[in-house]
Amino acid sequence: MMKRERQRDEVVMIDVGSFRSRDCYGISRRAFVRAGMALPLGVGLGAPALGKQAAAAGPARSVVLLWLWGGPSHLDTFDPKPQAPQEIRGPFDTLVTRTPGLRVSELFPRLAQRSQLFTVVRSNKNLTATHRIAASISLTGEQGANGDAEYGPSIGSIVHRVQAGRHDLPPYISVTPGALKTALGIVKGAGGGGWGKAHDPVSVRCSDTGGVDIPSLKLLEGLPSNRLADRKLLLKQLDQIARLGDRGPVETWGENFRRAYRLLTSGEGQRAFDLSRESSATRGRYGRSVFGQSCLLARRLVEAEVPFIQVNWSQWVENLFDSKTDFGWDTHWLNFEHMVDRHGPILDRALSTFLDDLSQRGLLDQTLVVAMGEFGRTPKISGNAGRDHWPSVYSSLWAGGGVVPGQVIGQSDRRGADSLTDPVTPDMVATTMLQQAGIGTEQRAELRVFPDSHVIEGLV
Amino acid sequence: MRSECVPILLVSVLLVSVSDAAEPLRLTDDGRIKRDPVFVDGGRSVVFTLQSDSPRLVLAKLDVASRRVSRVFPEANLPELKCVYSADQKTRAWLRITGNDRVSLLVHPAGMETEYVVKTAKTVAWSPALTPDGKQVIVNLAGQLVVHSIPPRKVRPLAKSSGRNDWPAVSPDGRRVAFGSSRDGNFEIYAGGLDGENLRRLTKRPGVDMRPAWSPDGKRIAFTSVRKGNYEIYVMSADGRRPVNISRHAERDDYVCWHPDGRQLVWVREVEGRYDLFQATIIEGGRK
Repeated sequence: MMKRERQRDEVVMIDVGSFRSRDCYGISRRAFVRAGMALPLGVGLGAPALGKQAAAAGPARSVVLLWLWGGPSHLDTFDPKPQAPQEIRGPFDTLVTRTPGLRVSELFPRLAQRSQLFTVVRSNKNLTATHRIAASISLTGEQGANGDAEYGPSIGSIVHRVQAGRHDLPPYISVTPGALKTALGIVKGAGGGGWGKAHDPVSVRCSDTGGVDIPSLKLLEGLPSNRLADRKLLLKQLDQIARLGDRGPVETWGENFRRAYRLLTSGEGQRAFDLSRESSATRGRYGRSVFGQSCLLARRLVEAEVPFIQVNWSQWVENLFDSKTDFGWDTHWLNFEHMVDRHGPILDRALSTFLDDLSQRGLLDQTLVVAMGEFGRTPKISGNAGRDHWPSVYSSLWAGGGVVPGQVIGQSDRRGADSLTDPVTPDMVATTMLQQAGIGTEQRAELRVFPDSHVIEGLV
Repeated sequence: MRSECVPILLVSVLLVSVSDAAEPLRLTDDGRIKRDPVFVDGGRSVVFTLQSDSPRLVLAKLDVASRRVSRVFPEANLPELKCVYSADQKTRAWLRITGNDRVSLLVHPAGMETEYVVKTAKTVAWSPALTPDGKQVIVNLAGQLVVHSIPPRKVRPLAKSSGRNDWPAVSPDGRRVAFGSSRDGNFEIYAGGLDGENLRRLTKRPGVDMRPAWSPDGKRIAFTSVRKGNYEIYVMSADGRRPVNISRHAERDDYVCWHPDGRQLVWVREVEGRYDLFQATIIEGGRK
């Protein structure tokens, strides 16, 4: 980030694709803006013509998926079992909420106080207990082909296809510390899948201090502007860089670069990504965590009318993982310690502030917010004082965008082990998001996505 | 402190003659996530865990007078946290995240050139606490407390129970240990002998009570409680009586430790979403 070096053949050196955090304790340089003004080739790299299908107006102008990567324990969040034996209920008390029949873990006092803004689904069900696969199924709404080899487009990619070209900003932005991964590999269902990388999200990264950068554009850092001005030379240079890394040839990832580059040259992009435009108090309300600041960025992207925004809690699913540690929700160990130390307070603050902020700005009605992971966690506490993977039943939180708030949809059994009501499956989650985004039955049929599925009953 | 609380609090102070604290003073201002402060150098410095970019967690040392923060182990390239010391500071123990769900307990004993990794029965060690003489370290292994001798010869369980046990803290005289446990339902504070005998429950309230910290004279215990729906710092007598909320602050207050003079506390306070170390002076008999 923020390099300013002088090289032999430079005309003007640039800082590209990064916003440093700025508040009363630090200084920001608007590298993003400066680069946007310096680079002349934005038009030349403009968005390619894509097969576009305009969406009908849905209740949700934007969909925000808060991806709680790793699988939060439903029993320690939004489906506690205070009457269950200790080895199931765990050590946390529960709080009453404003919603009849809804108690939540004591770690979520802020959310408890504003439960009238959201509805909890307590009967989600996934098809596997393997993180990568369960995540791909959740994000695409369906199982992959050939095992974990091929997936259809993610929900965001479907929105992207329909909404592409309707806005200056990319229609699908992933606010993420990095590509979703586990120790066993990358999540394959987080992008365009069979529709191609052209439908992948543009990824942006947000730090706990509010710094924002766009990894796609970091390739340009340090390049002199006279080289950037020469499109042919630039593509050659990018190709060379790409071959050194794991990105594949230019033609496959170049679209991401082009769309990211459009951000750079767009006034909207410059405004939307600059968290230093927010007051210190506002930034603080979201919490100085990666997830908190990412939620704040998501709110700015909602204001900029980005149709689909995914905020990833962490890059890695693992909770504790040597130098890769970024505290995913996979709490096989220390489940309760992490819930009380970190995950509970961070999620409670960030999500409640996000809902408040959208509501107070009059944006919640037109923004569908979904918070969920790929599965829940075992009802019975393990011998390692943690909880393991549990896809049979788990919870998700829904707000805005046509959701009828203040409800509990579905019911798990007294141990939180299975659903007593019809399960809410990944295709129903996907269908509901698409429907609220204005991609209705007919259009889904045209796109050949979830033609036979239906929205979550009673939710919208 | 919120001024509107004062009249009510004064009444309670007069009735039960408990301690209070002056307005906390901010010691750090970077706002990044912090945890596990502990005084060292006779109270001139505070060692704590600090969120960083890489590695994600580092052990940091604050010079209280200058407010300068430096890394305890500048060369560390793996996340490290929760450094604790013996009374003479010659022995220290801390945690290092070494792999996928692998957290090692390291001990650097007095008189040895380097630290060693404690061989534990589980791959994740948590919440180490040293005895004041530096001859034993207590650690949470999968929700049960275990005592390892230093050097490593003996291992024994401590106050084993159903539920989870965590956050051990040894009294300054080395004879008692306080910790949090969910053996009776939710997390409460318990204290007993270092042999695990004569265990007594010190708190009995809804909501999490955790992270006990003994005062230097062993007469009080500070701890974190969520009994009123928010993380607050409480101080009670060592027998569990007269718990008083000394933080009374709308955001999170957590991870409390005592200054060696027994009159000051440092904890992590969240202000507008920023986490910083704050220091407050205990006032005997009520607010002044």
